[in-house]
Amino acid sequence: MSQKTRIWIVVAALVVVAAVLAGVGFLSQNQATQAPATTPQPGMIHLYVNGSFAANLLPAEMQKLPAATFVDKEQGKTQKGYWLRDVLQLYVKENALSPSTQITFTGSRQGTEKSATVTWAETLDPANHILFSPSNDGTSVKIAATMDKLATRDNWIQGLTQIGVQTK
Amino acid sequence: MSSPVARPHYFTTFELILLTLFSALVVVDKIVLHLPLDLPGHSGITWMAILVVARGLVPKAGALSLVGLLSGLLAAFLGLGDLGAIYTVFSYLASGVGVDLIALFLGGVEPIAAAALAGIVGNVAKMLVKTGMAVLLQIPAGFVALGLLYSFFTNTVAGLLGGLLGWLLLRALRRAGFFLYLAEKR
Repeated sequence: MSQKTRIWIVVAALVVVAAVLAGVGFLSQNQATQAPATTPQPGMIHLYVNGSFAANLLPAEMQKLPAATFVDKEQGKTQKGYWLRDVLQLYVKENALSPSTQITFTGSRQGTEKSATVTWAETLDPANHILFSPSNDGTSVKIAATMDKLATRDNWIQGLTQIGVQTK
Repeated sequence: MSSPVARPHYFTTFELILLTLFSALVVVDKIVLHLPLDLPGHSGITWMAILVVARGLVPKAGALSLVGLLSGLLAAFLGLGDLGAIYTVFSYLASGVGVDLIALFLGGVEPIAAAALAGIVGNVAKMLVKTGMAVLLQIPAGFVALGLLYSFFTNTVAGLLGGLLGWLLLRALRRAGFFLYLAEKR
């Protein structure tokens, strides 16, 4: 087999992989949209309100939200995503949220679970820049902010798995 | 009485030292070099360049798999990667195996097309393993669905650039007489 033929075989294999990924992406997106909203679905971020399961966070719904950015204090890099307040309001009615409502994020990084809690008042404060930020490769989501308790990479909640809202 | 003849090892000690140094370089690159690009897989530009150079200097099948495994273990011990040690080891290993397989299939990374394809396949292999593991481990990765093809495209471009950069470095090393120096050391 000539070198040229081998090169074309590799290129063809890459094209096949791209086609498969496009198909898988399309199917996953459809599956995510059609997943039952009443039970936590594996591989999705779960939202609990007062201890009861409320929703699976759907990527397609996030895309309707306005994009948000802020420059982090630690490294001066631009963080992209959606404001957490906008994300929560997709699933929880605003009149159910009071300034003292507690919002707890749980994430898993390097096999270690980590969580942080903020209030709804802190979430609404534009100076805090609390961001729901999908990673560049789309394989995880982090909660980042400029407020002191979430200002550094050590404090960010990376690999977000769950958001808990405690209104009472 | 005939004395037992020692079977020659597949890799010489010098080659193993070289491959170990390249493994360390992959990890150092991941820690220190941060390109100001907001694209998935962009680290592949320098990562794949290092792998292509390593394959050019140690042109033996399995050399890059060894670099992938060693750099993965090193990265896991240093706590790199977001999703645990196994995830880190497999994604680094995938890059090495990808470059190795392409170099084996195309007979090395000396031709520019082979180096470019080795870079692409190495970077895409890493991306595929990461995505596959996120699905298998049921990591909340609902966002993957939105960007699989986009991520494939950016990983391909970064891998291509990395492969070309590696080819240029190999050419510069050859012109500088580094290959003659290596031949003496072996």
